[in-house]
Amino acid sequence: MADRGLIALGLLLLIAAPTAVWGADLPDAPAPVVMPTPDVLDLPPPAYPQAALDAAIEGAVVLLLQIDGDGVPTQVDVVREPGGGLGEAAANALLNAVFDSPPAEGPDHGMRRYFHVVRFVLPEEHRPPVPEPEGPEPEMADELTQLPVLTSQVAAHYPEAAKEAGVQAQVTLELEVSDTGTLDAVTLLDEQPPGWGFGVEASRAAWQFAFEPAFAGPVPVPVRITYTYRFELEEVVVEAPVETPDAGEAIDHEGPVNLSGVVRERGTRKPLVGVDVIIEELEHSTVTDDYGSFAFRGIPAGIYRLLVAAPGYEKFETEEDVVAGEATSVIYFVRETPTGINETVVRVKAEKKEVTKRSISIETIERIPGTFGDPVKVVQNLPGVARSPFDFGLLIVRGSAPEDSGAHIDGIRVPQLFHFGGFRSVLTPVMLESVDFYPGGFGPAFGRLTGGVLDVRTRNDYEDTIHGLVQADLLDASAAITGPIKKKGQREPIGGFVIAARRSYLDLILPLLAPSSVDLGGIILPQWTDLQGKLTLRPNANHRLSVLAYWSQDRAGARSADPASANNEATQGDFLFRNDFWRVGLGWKAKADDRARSELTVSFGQDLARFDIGSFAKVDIDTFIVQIREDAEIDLIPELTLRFGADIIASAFGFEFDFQNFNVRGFGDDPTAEKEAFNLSQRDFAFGPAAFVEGRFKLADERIQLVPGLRFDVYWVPGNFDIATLDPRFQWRITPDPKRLLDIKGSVGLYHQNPQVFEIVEATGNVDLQAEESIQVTAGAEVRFTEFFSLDVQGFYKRLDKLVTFNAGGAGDRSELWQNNGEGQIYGAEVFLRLQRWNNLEGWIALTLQRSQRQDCPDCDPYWFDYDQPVIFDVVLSYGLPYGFRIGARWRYVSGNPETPIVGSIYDADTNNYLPLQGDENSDRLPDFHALDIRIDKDINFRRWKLTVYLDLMNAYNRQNPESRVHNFDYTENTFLVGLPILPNLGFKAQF
Amino acid sequence: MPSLRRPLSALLALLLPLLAGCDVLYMTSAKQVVRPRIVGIRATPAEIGLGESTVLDALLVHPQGERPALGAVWFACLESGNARGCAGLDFGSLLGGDGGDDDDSAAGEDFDAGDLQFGVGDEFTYTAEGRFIEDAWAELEPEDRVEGLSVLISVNYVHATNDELQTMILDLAAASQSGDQETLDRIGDRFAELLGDGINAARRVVVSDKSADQPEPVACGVSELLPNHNPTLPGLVLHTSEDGLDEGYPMGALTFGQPEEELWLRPRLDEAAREAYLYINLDGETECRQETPYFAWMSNAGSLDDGNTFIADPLDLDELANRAKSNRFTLPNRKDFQRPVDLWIVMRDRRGGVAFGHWSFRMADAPTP
Repeated sequence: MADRGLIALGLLLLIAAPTAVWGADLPDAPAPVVMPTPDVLDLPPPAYPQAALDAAIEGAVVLLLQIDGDGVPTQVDVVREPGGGLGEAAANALLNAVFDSPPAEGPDHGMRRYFHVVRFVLPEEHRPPVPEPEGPEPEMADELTQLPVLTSQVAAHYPEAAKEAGVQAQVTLELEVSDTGTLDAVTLLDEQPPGWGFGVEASRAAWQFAFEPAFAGPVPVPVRITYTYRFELEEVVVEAPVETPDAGEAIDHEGPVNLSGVVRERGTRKPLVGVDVIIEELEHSTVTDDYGSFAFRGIPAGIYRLLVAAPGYEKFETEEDVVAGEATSVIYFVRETPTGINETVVRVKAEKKEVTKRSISIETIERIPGTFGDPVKVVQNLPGVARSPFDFGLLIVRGSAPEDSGAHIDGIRVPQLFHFGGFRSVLTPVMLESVDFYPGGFGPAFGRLTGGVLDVRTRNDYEDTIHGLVQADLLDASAAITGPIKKKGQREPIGGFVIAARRSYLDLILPLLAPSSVDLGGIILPQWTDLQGKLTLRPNANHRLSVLAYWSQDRAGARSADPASANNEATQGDFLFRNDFWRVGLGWKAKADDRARSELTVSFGQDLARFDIGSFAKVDIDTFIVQIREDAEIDLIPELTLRFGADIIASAFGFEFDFQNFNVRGFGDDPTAEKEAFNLSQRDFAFGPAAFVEGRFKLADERIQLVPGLRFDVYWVPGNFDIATLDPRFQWRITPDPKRLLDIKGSVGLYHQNPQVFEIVEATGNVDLQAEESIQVTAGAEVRFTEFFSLDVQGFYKRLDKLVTFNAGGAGDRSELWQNNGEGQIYGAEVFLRLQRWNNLEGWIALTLQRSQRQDCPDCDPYWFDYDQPVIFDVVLSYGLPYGFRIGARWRYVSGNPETPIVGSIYDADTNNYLPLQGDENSDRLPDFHALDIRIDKDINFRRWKLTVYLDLMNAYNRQNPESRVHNFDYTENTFLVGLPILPNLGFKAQF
Repeated sequence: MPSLRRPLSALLALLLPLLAGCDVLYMTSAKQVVRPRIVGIRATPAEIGLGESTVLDALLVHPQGERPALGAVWFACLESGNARGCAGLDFGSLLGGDGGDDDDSAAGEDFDAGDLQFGVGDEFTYTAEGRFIEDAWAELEPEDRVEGLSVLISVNYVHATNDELQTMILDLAAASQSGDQETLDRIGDRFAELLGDGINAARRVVVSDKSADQPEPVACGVSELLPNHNPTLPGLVLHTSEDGLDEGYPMGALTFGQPEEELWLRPRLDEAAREAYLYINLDGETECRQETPYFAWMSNAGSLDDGNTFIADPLDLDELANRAKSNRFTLPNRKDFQRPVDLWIVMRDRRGGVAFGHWSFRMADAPTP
């Protein structure tokens, strides 16, 4: 590095000396070119380093930039800095800056170089006192009395290609020297020959010059001078050529960091953690940290090929020029691989004690067709889950009734997980971390249910910068913001936050867009609104505190234009459904050491439901709920982990049935009888403490896992009702194959479920009811054929006892309305064939074969349950295409639900209505359902934000799927009410 | 968003049939008479006391021509919901249906034929007497007798003449006395067949004693508890203006019209149309109430806007308060429609009181049949 230059110094307007061209043709490969720096559109103010403040350092930092076509810096090198860390601070700020887009015409953006100056000015409080000038202020002369004097010269780097080609050059620069002697600007005036990179190198060197200022009399003044830099080979003191060292050579592992940077996802700017950054020639690599940052120490000067290898991302390669004595700072934007369903359903490998736990990561699961981008809805495509009529979002698991399965958010029970209509779950995807689904045979940590458990886990990890998201489609729009929480002066965040909101607008836009021939005045279209947020703090490595709050609102119904326009009072007036609930949950997760862990959640909230049933009745239900959940684990010995905890619910509930016109004497039997207003209400308190314990024995190198557990539940409504149940449960998993490719597993357990509140309180129910009971047995196997191909087969049997049945004949005595007379049995098998990312193809096949049978009393005839769906078959496939496209398809085939045939009717002349005569219960069945859903996504990655446009096409071949049978007025004709026709949903998601 | 309006409208057009209700499913509605059916049963008087009688007749509507020659079988018993009378005799099985609430059926064990009243013909006289109704009546508190009991009365029009039915019943009675099981079975099977294919309907008749309690004096059109009466339907008013605010013309039994002519029809109301009455509620308070009758419309040709019309509410600014609302009837679109077009209206007071009306229309240019 011994290029020599001659200095030509002149006054302003001095014509540059005639230039000599020693160069020849253009080089084979393009060389960097200095370009005028575009305007800055957005530059986050750089943090003033404390060291610089303490040392009272200020001044200009000169940076050499590479900027892409969008105006986003891709590489920032510090050319000159005053010290005190100002260079690094400026470089970091520039990495997050946005410039005006450079013109498209001209050299390739990768070859353009821009110089940019960031000036740091000390705050007044850090500025050292300046002595008052003595005497009169000096007077400036009319002309320059002293030219600026170059006091420090830096040699320019001779471009390698030019050196090899024997090309010499002359570069003319214009320098603006301030009245303190620093350079304010360097402008490239001429470069001969062009195209070899001499201009860049000359400018870079010039920026490092130091001057004594020019003077006009006694006063220092700023001047503009021209400077010609000659690159002459004969002047070169030849040294050994710079060569890129071989692998492992010459790395000074104790040296300073001279190549560092950040790896981010293109578009989202999300830092990529744990990504390998490899210097190919040195066979040297490092891994990005929690912030996506990497750093190499003591890399010898040279040009290196760097590779970034991140699973799920396209291979990223670039060249970096490491210059001796300089630190190179870069930022790499890596493009996500356009694959389909990324880590959609993951059996948790590290913890396999659950026989059937399907854990779903959120990421690209939003792209499953037919889910309208809602990750929670994907549960409906897993084995064991029946399809609810009209896809309304009911959770029907392994032949159970919807009320037998429960939805939880962070382990806390919530009244509903899907909004009315089933289009959306109540949590926006940005809030979610995972969705855990237990179709049955679950451990004692969950209770009060005989069906399945859906536990949505909210996020506790956040990106290191502020991120936002806006999403909109035909149904609703949502917005979210998330970011880290940092202590001042600390890089490491101590937590993070997320805030999200969503509002549907079907009710707003449909009336505007509906054809004029359609009157929507009487329909209150489904409306949903969500507000939610979470704050997580990690005061230290052993503790995590969080606050989660969410509020959900649903509205739907129909409004009669003239409430009196019906002959039946039960169908007059407004039909409104309103459901609000909110929860605030405080979480504390702690670990005492590596052997003990604890997670405590205290949640309180309120459920409000209101039904307006025409002018017939209004129903109000109001429940205030406090839930406490403690879940602790201790590794007693390596072979035994003890899990135990408490699950406590306390609620103050009230309900009111307000009948406007009710035959109070005959309890509704006689339509001609006189009617009165009638009110039925009760306010009460319910308390449901539960405790659970579970031992996890890990034997034979964890190839045998035995998990016995016990759960004790109490349910107590003072003065009305009390139940105590004890549920032993046992799960086992054996891995006979030393390669651990095969697991055999099973479970057996007792499960109890409390009756519904209105079934057990004195006002409306039977206080002598007992808990419904279920014995569940499962057995199955998991085979992992390859890393990406696995099969899970599981059989199950459920015996149901003490089911609460409604006894219509007991109308005279309400305590006889509800009885524990019901029985049932459910049996079946589930097959789950999973293909995890193979050549951009991903998906699964889920097959459930099952039967669900009920009897309303021991001597009654058995019948197929309302949701008995013998065959449920789902195929989900997704394929990543080039250019950011991905296409997915879901095909579903489901047996039709049973139905009770109508075999005749009787005309009730008093009400002018026909009463149906029903045949054997559920002895008929609706036609089978099948539908194809297709989704196409296109990701458009910008440097700092990402746009996803999607088209979700439901029911692509427009199958008229019968969802319900409807009859005419006298039951002599019938037809099917069919599900949604072909329904395109176009939307976008923008995230930065 | 003008550019989006068209595709979105197309999308909505696909969606809206779901939202707009079942009318778009193209099934026969109650206002269309496409097969013979019963649309009302009238009891005269509408409410009786224990031991008193009422005469029932049914309005049988039919799609065209003459009323079909059908015979009628009537049954009466206490409504099963009161848990007394017609013990276990299920309404559905009584009328030939296969279903009904089998669990509650105990036919045979508690059945007492003496409790059952039946008859044949277009009219049936029911008398509130019998062991079950008397026992049930005895169990009522005196003040509960004001509202009384409901007796369920069913009628089944079958494909046999009334004379044939009468003969079958006499044969049945004779065979029962003589123990002729073969005849019993044969006639029983024939009855079951007729009932299964028949046209059935049912109504309730209130058996009460309005003198069982004394109302408090309240401002009302009446000062004492009175049994319900059937309303009257004096006729229809034919309006010439769409808003129905003109005087209109009283319509005769037969009206001539043009194809697709729109007729705005309004039931005429007289003084007795909306009966005021006293009601003692469960708290023992006396309330003054007024009936809110409604009108069910049916026709065997042409089309009606509404299947039911109501009394205009005082707050209904488009209507004159307390007047019956009008309905649009559009005559058939064929000039050569030969047969008369029938329009039936059944007026109900929601307390068991019923009135019938029947009008006919002919195409003015229709050829003489």
